[in-house]
Amino acid sequence: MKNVSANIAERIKKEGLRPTPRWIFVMKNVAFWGLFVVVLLLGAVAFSLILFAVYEADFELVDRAVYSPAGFFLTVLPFSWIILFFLFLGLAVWVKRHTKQGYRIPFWLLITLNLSGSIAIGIVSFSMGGSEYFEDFFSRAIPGYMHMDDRKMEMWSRPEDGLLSGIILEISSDTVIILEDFSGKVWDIDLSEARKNMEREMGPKKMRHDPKRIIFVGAKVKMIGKTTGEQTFFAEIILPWKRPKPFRDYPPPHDLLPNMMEPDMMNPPPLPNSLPE
Amino acid sequence: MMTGRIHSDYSDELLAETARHDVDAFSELVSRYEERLLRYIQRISYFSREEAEEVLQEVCLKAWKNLNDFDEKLKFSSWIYRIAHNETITEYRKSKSRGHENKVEWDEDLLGAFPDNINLPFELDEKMKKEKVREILGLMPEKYREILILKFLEERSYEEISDILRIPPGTVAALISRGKNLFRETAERHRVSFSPEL
Repeated sequence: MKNVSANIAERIKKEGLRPTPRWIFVMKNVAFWGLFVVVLLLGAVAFSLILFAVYEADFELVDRAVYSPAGFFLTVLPFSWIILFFLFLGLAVWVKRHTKQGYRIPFWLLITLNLSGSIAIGIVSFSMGGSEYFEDFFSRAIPGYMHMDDRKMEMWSRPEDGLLSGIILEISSDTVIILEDFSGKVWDIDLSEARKNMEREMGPKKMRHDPKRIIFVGAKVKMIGKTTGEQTFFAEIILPWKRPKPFRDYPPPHDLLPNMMEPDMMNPPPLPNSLPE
Repeated sequence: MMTGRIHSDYSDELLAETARHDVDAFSELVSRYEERLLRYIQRISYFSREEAEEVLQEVCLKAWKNLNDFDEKLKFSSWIYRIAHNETITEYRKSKSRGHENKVEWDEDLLGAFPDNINLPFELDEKMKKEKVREILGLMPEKYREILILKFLEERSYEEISDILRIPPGTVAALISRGKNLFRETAERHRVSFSPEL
Protein backbone atom coordinates (compact mmCIF):
# COMPACT_ATOMS: atom_id res chain seq x y z
CA MET A 1 0.00 0.00 0.00
CA LYS A 2 1.20 3.48 -0.87
CA ASN A 3 1.72 5.85 1.98
CA VAL A 4 -1.47 7.47 3.24
CA SER A 5 -0.38 11.03 2.52
CA ALA A 6 0.11 10.28 -1.16
CA ASN A 7 -3.18 8.41 -1.37
CA ILE A 8 -5.09 11.23 0.28
CA ALA A 9 -3.59 13.92 -1.92
CA GLU A 10 -4.45 11.84 -4.97
CA ARG A 11 -8.00 11.25 -3.84
CA ILE A 12 -8.57 14.91 -2.95
CA LYS A 13 -7.34 16.04 -6.35
CA LYS A 14 -9.21 13.34 -8.24
CA GLU A 15 -12.53 13.91 -6.51
CA GLY A 16 -12.09 17.69 -6.34
CA LEU A 17 -12.75 17.68 -2.58
CA ARG A 18 -12.70 21.07 -0.86
CA PRO A 19 -12.53 21.94 2.84
CA THR A 20 -15.90 22.98 4.26
CA PRO A 21 -16.11 26.80 4.15
CA ARG A 22 -15.04 28.61 7.31
CA TRP A 23 -18.31 30.51 7.67
CA ILE A 24 -20.19 27.26 8.28
CA PHE A 25 -18.04 26.54 11.34
CA VAL A 26 -18.35 30.14 12.50
CA MET A 27 -22.14 29.94 12.21
CA LYS A 28 -22.18 26.64 14.07
CA ASN A 29 -20.21 28.15 16.93
CA VAL A 30 -22.40 31.26 16.98
CA ALA A 31 -25.49 29.01 17.02
CA PHE A 32 -24.14 27.14 20.05
CA TRP A 33 -23.43 30.39 21.89
CA GLY A 34 -26.87 31.75 20.93
CA LEU A 35 -28.51 28.58 22.17
CA PHE A 36 -26.51 28.82 25.39
CA VAL A 37 -27.72 32.38 26.03
CA VAL A 38 -31.34 31.44 25.24
CA VAL A 39 -31.25 28.43 27.56
CA LEU A 40 -29.61 30.49 30.32
CA LEU A 41 -32.36 33.12 29.99
CA LEU A 42 -35.08 30.47 30.01
CA GLY A 43 -33.53 29.12 33.22
CA ALA A 44 -33.68 32.66 34.63
CA VAL A 45 -37.37 32.98 33.66
CA ALA A 46 -38.11 29.66 35.37
CA PHE A 47 -36.24 30.76 38.48
CA SER A 48 -38.02 34.14 38.63
CA LEU A 49 -41.37 32.31 38.49
CA ILE A 50 -40.32 29.89 41.24
CA LEU A 51 -39.19 32.85 43.34
CA PHE A 52 -42.47 34.62 42.67
CA ALA A 53 -44.49 31.59 43.75
CA VAL A 54 -42.48 31.20 46.96
CA TYR A 55 -42.60 34.92 47.69
CA GLU A 56 -46.36 35.05 47.22
CA ALA A 57 -46.93 31.87 49.22
CA ASP A 58 -49.19 32.58 52.17
CA PHE A 59 -47.36 30.98 55.05
CA GLU A 60 -50.14 32.19 57.37
CA LEU A 61 -52.08 29.19 56.13
CA VAL A 62 -49.48 26.91 57.67
CA ASP A 63 -49.24 29.03 60.83
CA ARG A 64 -53.00 28.78 61.23
CA ALA A 65 -52.92 25.03 60.52
CA VAL A 66 -55.19 25.38 57.51
CA TYR A 67 -52.59 23.35 55.62
CA SER A 68 -49.91 20.96 56.81
CA PRO A 69 -46.43 22.15 55.77
CA ALA A 70 -46.11 19.31 53.24
CA GLY A 71 -49.57 19.87 51.81
CA PHE A 72 -48.90 23.59 51.61
CA PHE A 73 -45.66 23.18 49.66
CA LEU A 74 -47.27 20.67 47.35
CA THR A 75 -49.97 23.24 46.65
CA VAL A 76 -47.89 26.38 46.19
CA LEU A 77 -44.63 25.17 44.62
CA PRO A 78 -44.63 25.37 40.82
CA PHE A 79 -43.21 21.90 40.18
CA SER A 80 -43.30 22.18 36.40
CA TRP A 81 -41.11 25.31 36.63
CA ILE A 82 -38.76 23.63 39.06
CA ILE A 83 -38.34 20.69 36.68
CA LEU A 84 -37.90 23.05 33.74
CA PHE A 85 -35.33 25.09 35.68
CA PHE A 86 -33.14 22.02 36.18
CA LEU A 87 -33.70 20.93 32.58
CA PHE A 88 -32.57 24.33 31.31
CA LEU A 89 -29.60 24.22 33.65
CA GLY A 90 -28.55 20.81 32.33
CA LEU A 91 -29.08 21.93 28.75
CA ALA A 92 -27.01 25.09 29.31
CA VAL A 93 -24.14 23.00 30.68
CA TRP A 94 -24.38 20.60 27.74
CA VAL A 95 -24.41 23.42 25.18
CA LYS A 96 -21.52 25.24 26.86
CA ARG A 97 -19.43 22.07 26.79
CA HIS A 98 -19.97 21.90 23.05
CA THR A 99 -18.64 25.39 22.36
CA LYS A 100 -15.04 25.53 21.15
CA GLN A 101 -13.22 25.73 24.50
CA GLY A 102 -16.15 24.91 26.78
CA TYR A 103 -14.91 21.41 27.58
CA ARG A 104 -11.92 22.86 29.44
CA ILE A 105 -14.15 24.29 32.19
CA PRO A 106 -14.60 21.77 35.03
CA PHE A 107 -18.10 20.36 35.34
CA TRP A 108 -18.70 21.74 38.86
CA LEU A 109 -17.64 25.20 37.71
CA LEU A 110 -19.95 25.04 34.69
CA ILE A 111 -22.85 24.08 36.96
CA THR A 112 -21.98 26.82 39.46
CA LEU A 113 -21.60 29.50 36.78
CA ASN A 114 -24.82 28.58 35.01
CA LEU A 115 -26.72 28.24 38.26
CA SER A 116 -25.45 31.64 39.48
CA GLY A 117 -26.22 33.24 36.10
CA SER A 118 -29.79 31.95 36.00
CA ILE A 119 -30.40 32.83 39.65
CA ALA A 120 -28.92 36.33 39.35
CA ILE A 121 -30.89 37.17 36.20
CA GLY A 122 -33.98 35.54 37.74
CA ILE A 123 -33.72 37.73 40.86
CA VAL A 124 -33.31 40.88 38.76
CA SER A 125 -36.29 39.85 36.64
CA PHE A 126 -38.40 39.13 39.74
CA SER A 127 -37.51 42.43 41.41
CA MET A 128 -38.36 44.36 38.26
CA GLY A 129 -41.77 42.75 37.88
CA GLY A 130 -40.73 40.31 35.18
CA SER A 131 -42.28 37.37 37.02
CA GLU A 132 -45.78 38.86 36.87
CA TYR A 133 -45.28 39.66 33.20
CA PHE A 134 -44.22 36.07 32.48
CA GLU A 135 -47.16 34.68 34.48
CA ASP A 136 -49.55 36.81 32.43
CA PHE A 137 -47.78 35.91 29.20
CA PHE A 138 -47.74 32.14 29.80
CA SER A 139 -51.35 32.04 31.00
CA ARG A 140 -52.37 33.72 27.73
CA ALA A 141 -50.01 31.77 25.49
CA ILE A 142 -50.22 28.25 26.92
CA PRO A 143 -53.65 26.60 26.99
CA GLY A 144 -54.25 25.01 30.37
CA TYR A 145 -51.56 27.09 32.13
CA MET A 146 -52.92 28.15 35.50
CA HIS A 147 -52.07 31.71 36.44
CA MET A 148 -50.83 32.08 39.98
CA ASP A 149 -53.77 34.37 40.77
CA ASP A 150 -56.14 31.58 39.71
CA ARG A 151 -54.33 29.11 41.94
CA LYS A 152 -54.54 31.58 44.81
CA MET A 153 -58.21 32.20 44.14
CA GLU A 154 -58.83 28.48 44.43
CA MET A 155 -56.93 28.34 47.70
CA TRP A 156 -58.64 31.40 49.17
CA SER A 157 -62.20 30.76 48.03
CA ARG A 158 -63.21 28.19 50.64
CA PRO A 159 -65.33 30.08 53.19
CA GLU A 160 -66.45 26.78 54.72
CA ASP A 161 -62.77 26.17 55.63
CA GLY A 162 -62.35 29.74 56.88
CA LEU A 163 -60.70 31.17 53.77
CA LEU A 164 -62.33 34.04 51.93
CA SER A 165 -61.08 36.55 49.37
CA GLY A 166 -62.48 39.23 47.12
CA ILE A 167 -62.77 42.96 46.48
CA ILE A 168 -63.86 45.50 49.10
CA LEU A 169 -67.06 47.21 47.94
CA GLU A 170 -67.74 49.40 50.92
CA ILE A 171 -66.31 50.34 54.30
CA SER A 172 -69.36 50.45 56.56
CA SER A 173 -67.65 51.21 59.87
CA ASP A 174 -64.43 50.75 61.76
CA THR A 175 -65.03 47.04 62.02
CA VAL A 176 -67.38 46.14 59.18
CA ILE A 177 -66.78 46.02 55.45
CA ILE A 178 -68.78 44.74 52.48
CA LEU A 179 -66.86 42.38 50.22
CA GLU A 180 -67.63 40.72 46.91
CA ASP A 181 -65.87 37.37 46.56
CA PHE A 182 -64.46 36.16 43.23
CA SER A 183 -67.63 34.21 42.46
CA GLY A 184 -69.70 37.41 42.80
CA LYS A 185 -71.24 36.66 46.20
CA VAL A 186 -71.46 39.65 48.58
CA TRP A 187 -70.42 39.26 52.20
CA ASP A 188 -70.64 41.31 55.42
CA ILE A 189 -67.28 41.03 57.08
CA ASP A 190 -66.66 41.54 60.78
CA LEU A 191 -63.12 42.89 61.16
CA SER A 192 -63.04 43.51 64.93
CA GLU A 193 -60.62 40.65 65.61
CA ALA A 194 -58.64 41.24 62.44
CA ARG A 195 -58.14 44.86 63.42
CA LYS A 196 -56.71 43.88 66.82
CA ASN A 197 -54.38 41.47 65.10
CA MET A 198 -53.29 44.14 62.67
CA GLU A 199 -52.46 46.58 65.41
CA ARG A 200 -50.46 43.90 67.15
CA GLU A 201 -48.56 42.86 64.03
CA MET A 202 -48.00 46.26 62.51
CA GLY A 203 -44.57 47.75 62.80
CA PRO A 204 -42.48 50.16 60.77
CA LYS A 205 -41.34 47.39 58.44
CA LYS A 206 -44.53 45.40 58.36
CA MET A 207 -46.50 47.14 55.66
CA ARG A 208 -48.23 43.86 55.00
CA HIS A 209 -50.27 44.51 58.14
CA ASP A 210 -50.71 48.26 57.67
CA PRO A 211 -54.49 48.82 57.47
CA LYS A 212 -54.25 51.88 55.28
CA ARG A 213 -52.39 49.83 52.71
CA ILE A 214 -54.90 47.02 52.87
CA ILE A 215 -58.39 48.26 53.56
CA PHE A 216 -59.80 50.69 51.03
CA VAL A 217 -62.61 50.52 48.54
CA GLY A 218 -61.58 48.52 45.49
CA ALA A 219 -58.77 46.69 47.31
CA LYS A 220 -58.32 42.96 46.73
CA VAL A 221 -57.95 41.16 50.05
CA LYS A 222 -57.84 37.68 51.51
CA MET A 223 -58.96 36.64 54.96
CA ILE A 224 -58.70 33.81 57.44
CA GLY A 225 -61.62 33.40 59.86
CA LYS A 226 -64.96 31.63 59.91
CA THR A 227 -68.40 31.94 58.41
CA THR A 228 -71.06 33.07 60.87
CA GLY A 229 -74.03 32.95 58.52
CA GLU A 230 -75.02 32.56 54.89
CA GLN A 231 -73.31 35.82 53.90
CA THR A 232 -71.44 36.86 57.00
CA PHE A 233 -67.84 36.19 57.84
CA PHE A 234 -65.78 36.79 60.97
CA ALA A 235 -62.22 37.67 59.89
CA GLU A 236 -59.33 36.96 62.21
CA ILE A 237 -56.66 37.98 59.74
CA ILE A 238 -56.95 40.22 56.71
CA LEU A 239 -54.15 40.48 54.19
CA PRO A 240 -53.55 42.27 50.91
CA TRP A 241 -54.07 40.03 47.87
CA LYS A 242 -50.45 40.52 46.83
CA ARG A 243 -47.41 41.06 48.95
CA PRO A 244 -45.49 44.35 48.68
CA LYS A 245 -42.68 43.79 46.20
CA PRO A 246 -39.07 44.09 47.30
CA PHE A 247 -37.33 47.17 45.86
CA ARG A 248 -40.63 48.41 44.43
CA ASP A 249 -42.69 48.58 47.60
CA TYR A 250 -46.43 48.48 47.58
CA PRO A 251 -48.28 50.72 45.09
CA PRO A 252 -48.88 53.85 47.12
CA PRO A 253 -51.96 55.70 45.69
CA HIS A 254 -54.36 54.36 48.27
CA ASP A 255 -52.20 55.89 51.00
CA LEU A 256 -54.11 59.06 50.31
CA LEU A 257 -57.56 57.50 50.23
CA PRO A 258 -59.89 57.89 53.22
CA ASN A 259 -59.27 54.99 55.54
CA MET A 260 -61.42 53.69 58.31
CA MET A 261 -58.42 52.89 60.46
CA GLU A 262 -57.16 56.48 60.37
CA PRO A 263 -60.13 58.81 60.75
CA ASP A 264 -57.92 61.87 60.23
CA MET A 265 -57.50 60.88 56.65
CA MET A 266 -61.20 61.47 56.08
CA ASN A 267 -60.51 65.19 56.53
CA PRO A 268 -56.95 65.84 55.42
CA PRO A 269 -55.54 69.27 56.29
CA PRO A 270 -55.79 71.82 53.45
CA LEU A 271 -52.74 72.21 51.28
CA PRO A 272 -50.80 75.46 51.84
CA ASN A 273 -51.45 78.14 49.21
CA SER A 274 -47.78 78.62 48.60
CA LEU A 275 -44.67 76.74 49.41
CA PRO A 276 -42.36 78.26 52.00
CA GLU A 277 -39.35 79.96 50.48
CA MET B 1 9.19 14.36 -1.90
CA MET B 2 8.92 17.84 -3.38
CA THR B 3 6.29 19.18 -1.00
CA GLY B 4 8.24 17.91 1.95
CA ARG B 5 11.23 19.99 0.96
CA ILE B 6 9.14 23.08 0.30
CA HIS B 7 7.36 23.03 3.66
CA SER B 8 9.87 21.25 5.82
CA ASP B 9 10.66 24.35 7.89
CA TYR B 10 6.99 25.13 8.55
CA SER B 11 5.46 24.42 11.93
CA ASP B 12 2.45 22.10 11.90
CA GLU B 13 0.14 25.01 12.62
CA LEU B 14 1.55 27.12 9.80
CA LEU B 15 1.36 24.16 7.46
CA ALA B 16 -2.28 23.64 8.43
CA GLU B 17 -2.95 27.28 7.58
CA THR B 18 -1.24 26.85 4.20
CA ALA B 19 -3.00 23.54 3.58
CA ARG B 20 -6.37 25.31 3.43
CA HIS B 21 -5.48 26.33 -0.12
CA ASP B 22 -2.79 23.80 -0.96
CA VAL B 23 -3.32 20.03 -1.16
CA ASP B 24 0.44 19.37 -1.26
CA ALA B 25 0.89 21.19 2.02
CA PHE B 26 -1.85 19.01 3.45
CA SER B 27 -0.15 15.92 2.11
CA GLU B 28 3.07 17.01 3.83
CA LEU B 29 1.14 17.51 7.06
CA VAL B 30 -0.35 14.02 6.81
CA SER B 31 3.06 12.49 6.11
CA ARG B 32 4.34 14.01 9.38
CA TYR B 33 1.61 12.25 11.35
CA GLU B 34 0.69 9.09 9.50
CA GLU B 35 3.00 6.71 11.34
CA ARG B 36 2.17 8.14 14.75
CA LEU B 37 -1.55 8.11 14.05
CA LEU B 38 -1.46 4.62 12.64
CA ARG B 39 0.18 3.36 15.82
CA TYR B 40 -2.29 5.29 17.96
CA ILE B 41 -5.27 3.89 16.05
CA GLN B 42 -3.99 0.37 16.53
CA ARG B 43 -3.29 0.91 20.19
CA ILE B 44 -6.79 2.07 21.06
CA SER B 45 -8.69 -0.18 18.68
CA TYR B 46 -6.97 -3.58 18.31
CA PHE B 47 -7.29 -3.15 14.53
CA SER B 48 -4.88 -4.87 12.18
CA ARG B 49 -2.51 -2.65 10.22
CA GLU B 50 -4.74 -2.85 7.13
CA GLU B 51 -7.85 -1.94 9.10
CA ALA B 52 -6.01 0.88 10.83
CA GLU B 53 -4.86 2.25 7.48
CA GLU B 54 -8.45 2.39 6.31
CA VAL B 55 -9.42 4.28 9.45
CA LEU B 56 -6.48 6.62 8.94
CA GLN B 57 -7.64 7.39 5.40
CA GLU B 58 -10.99 8.45 6.83
CA VAL B 59 -9.27 10.48 9.53
CA CYS B 60 -7.25 12.35 6.93
CA LEU B 61 -10.29 13.01 4.78
CA LYS B 62 -12.17 14.34 7.78
CA ALA B 63 -9.21 16.52 8.68
CA TRP B 64 -9.16 17.91 5.13
CA LYS B 65 -12.89 18.63 5.13
CA ASN B 66 -12.72 20.27 8.57
CA LEU B 67 -9.48 22.13 8.06
CA ASN B 68 -11.26 25.47 8.37
CA ASP B 69 -12.50 24.41 11.79
CA PHE B 70 -8.96 23.99 13.10
CA ASP B 71 -8.74 26.13 16.21
CA GLU B 72 -5.45 28.04 16.27
CA LYS B 73 -5.56 28.00 20.06
CA LEU B 74 -4.89 24.26 19.94
CA LYS B 75 -1.78 22.43 18.86
CA PHE B 76 -2.33 20.84 15.47
CA SER B 77 -1.30 17.49 16.91
CA SER B 78 -4.09 17.68 19.51
CA TRP B 79 -6.60 18.53 16.81
CA ILE B 80 -5.64 15.66 14.49
CA TYR B 81 -5.40 13.23 17.40
CA ARG B 82 -8.92 14.24 18.39
CA ILE B 83 -10.22 13.43 14.92
CA ALA B 84 -8.30 10.16 14.93
CA HIS B 85 -9.64 9.30 18.36
CA ASN B 86 -13.28 10.00 17.45
CA GLU B 87 -13.09 8.16 14.14
CA THR B 88 -11.31 5.18 15.64
CA ILE B 89 -13.73 4.87 18.54
CA THR B 90 -16.66 4.98 16.13
CA GLU B 91 -15.13 2.26 13.98
CA TYR B 92 -14.01 0.27 17.00
CA ARG B 93 -17.53 0.20 18.44
CA LYS B 94 -18.91 -0.91 15.11
CA SER B 95 -16.36 -3.70 14.89
CA LYS B 96 -16.92 -4.69 18.52
CA SER B 97 -20.61 -5.14 17.80
CA ARG B 98 -19.49 -7.49 15.02
CA GLY B 99 -17.45 -9.46 17.56
CA HIS B 100 -13.94 -8.11 17.01
CA GLU B 101 -11.43 -9.50 19.50
CA ASN B 102 -10.00 -7.17 22.17
CA LYS B 103 -6.25 -7.34 21.84
CA VAL B 104 -3.85 -4.46 21.99
CA GLU B 105 -1.70 -4.52 18.86
CA TRP B 106 1.92 -5.41 19.33
CA ASP B 107 4.41 -2.62 18.96
CA GLU B 108 7.83 -1.90 20.30
CA ASP B 109 6.82 1.23 22.24
CA LEU B 110 4.51 -0.90 24.33
CA LEU B 111 7.64 -2.36 25.79
CA GLY B 112 8.44 -0.87 29.10
CA ALA B 113 6.42 2.34 28.83
CA PHE B 114 3.66 1.32 31.18
CA PRO B 115 5.20 -0.37 34.14
CA ASP B 116 8.05 2.14 34.36
CA ASN B 117 5.74 5.10 34.18
CA ILE B 118 3.21 3.87 36.65
CA ASN B 119 5.82 2.52 39.01
CA LEU B 120 4.54 -0.99 39.33
CA PRO B 121 6.09 -2.49 42.40
CA PHE B 122 7.79 -5.25 40.55
CA GLU B 123 10.17 -5.80 37.74
CA LEU B 124 9.78 -7.92 34.69
CA ASP B 125 11.98 -9.02 31.90
CA GLU B 126 11.23 -7.12 28.70
CA LYS B 127 9.45 -9.90 26.86
CA MET B 128 7.18 -10.72 29.73
CA LYS B 129 6.51 -7.08 30.38
CA LYS B 130 5.06 -6.32 26.97
CA GLU B 131 2.92 -9.46 27.09
CA LYS B 132 1.51 -8.51 30.44
CA VAL B 133 0.95 -4.86 29.61
CA ARG B 134 -0.88 -5.86 26.46
CA GLU B 135 -3.02 -8.33 28.36
CA ILE B 136 -3.94 -5.92 31.13
CA LEU B 137 -4.75 -3.06 28.74
CA GLY B 138 -7.07 -5.37 26.86
CA LEU B 139 -8.97 -6.04 30.07
CA MET B 140 -9.37 -2.42 31.12
CA PRO B 141 -12.43 -0.24 30.46
CA GLU B 142 -12.18 1.88 27.33
CA LYS B 143 -11.93 5.29 29.02
CA TYR B 144 -8.99 4.28 31.19
CA ARG B 145 -7.25 2.39 28.42
CA GLU B 146 -7.46 5.40 26.09
CA ILE B 147 -6.14 7.84 28.62
CA LEU B 148 -3.25 5.62 29.74
CA ILE B 149 -2.25 5.08 26.11
CA LEU B 150 -2.32 8.82 25.44
CA LYS B 151 -0.31 9.60 28.54
CA PHE B 152 2.26 6.84 28.63
CA LEU B 153 2.56 5.63 25.06
CA GLU B 154 1.76 8.76 23.07
CA GLU B 155 3.39 10.91 25.75
CA ARG B 156 0.82 13.67 25.53
CA SER B 157 0.61 16.35 28.22
CA TYR B 158 -2.48 16.75 30.40
CA GLU B 159 -3.53 19.80 28.40
CA GLU B 160 -3.15 17.95 25.10
CA ILE B 161 -5.13 14.99 26.41
CA SER B 162 -7.79 17.44 27.58
CA ASP B 163 -7.98 18.85 24.04
CA ILE B 164 -7.97 15.43 22.39
CA LEU B 165 -10.67 13.90 24.55
CA ARG B 166 -12.55 17.19 25.16
CA ILE B 167 -12.56 16.83 28.92
CA PRO B 168 -11.30 19.28 31.59
CA PRO B 169 -7.58 18.95 32.52
CA GLY B 170 -8.57 18.15 36.12
CA THR B 171 -10.61 15.21 34.90
CA VAL B 172 -7.62 14.01 32.86
CA ALA B 173 -5.47 13.96 35.99
CA ALA B 174 -8.14 12.10 37.94
CA LEU B 175 -8.66 9.54 35.18
CA ILE B 176 -4.93 8.89 34.86
CA SER B 177 -4.61 8.38 38.58
CA ARG B 178 -7.59 6.02 38.66
CA GLY B 179 -6.36 4.31 35.50
CA LYS B 180 -3.01 3.58 37.09
CA ASN B 181 -4.67 2.05 40.12
CA LEU B 182 -7.04 0.10 37.95
CA PHE B 183 -4.11 -1.19 35.93
CA ARG B 184 -2.63 -2.69 39.09
CA GLU B 185 -5.99 -3.98 40.31
CA THR B 186 -6.83 -5.53 36.94
CA ALA B 187 -3.51 -7.30 36.95
CA GLU B 188 -4.18 -8.70 40.40
CA ARG B 189 -7.83 -9.58 39.78
CA HIS B 190 -7.08 -11.56 36.65
CA ARG B 191 -4.10 -13.19 38.26
CA VAL B 192 -1.77 -11.76 35.68
CA SER B 193 1.35 -12.73 37.51
CA PHE B 194 4.21 -10.30 37.49
CA SER B 195 7.45 -11.35 39.01
CA PRO B 196 7.43 -10.22 42.62
CA GLU B 197 9.67 -7.35 43.57
CA LEU B 198 13.01 -8.56 44.64
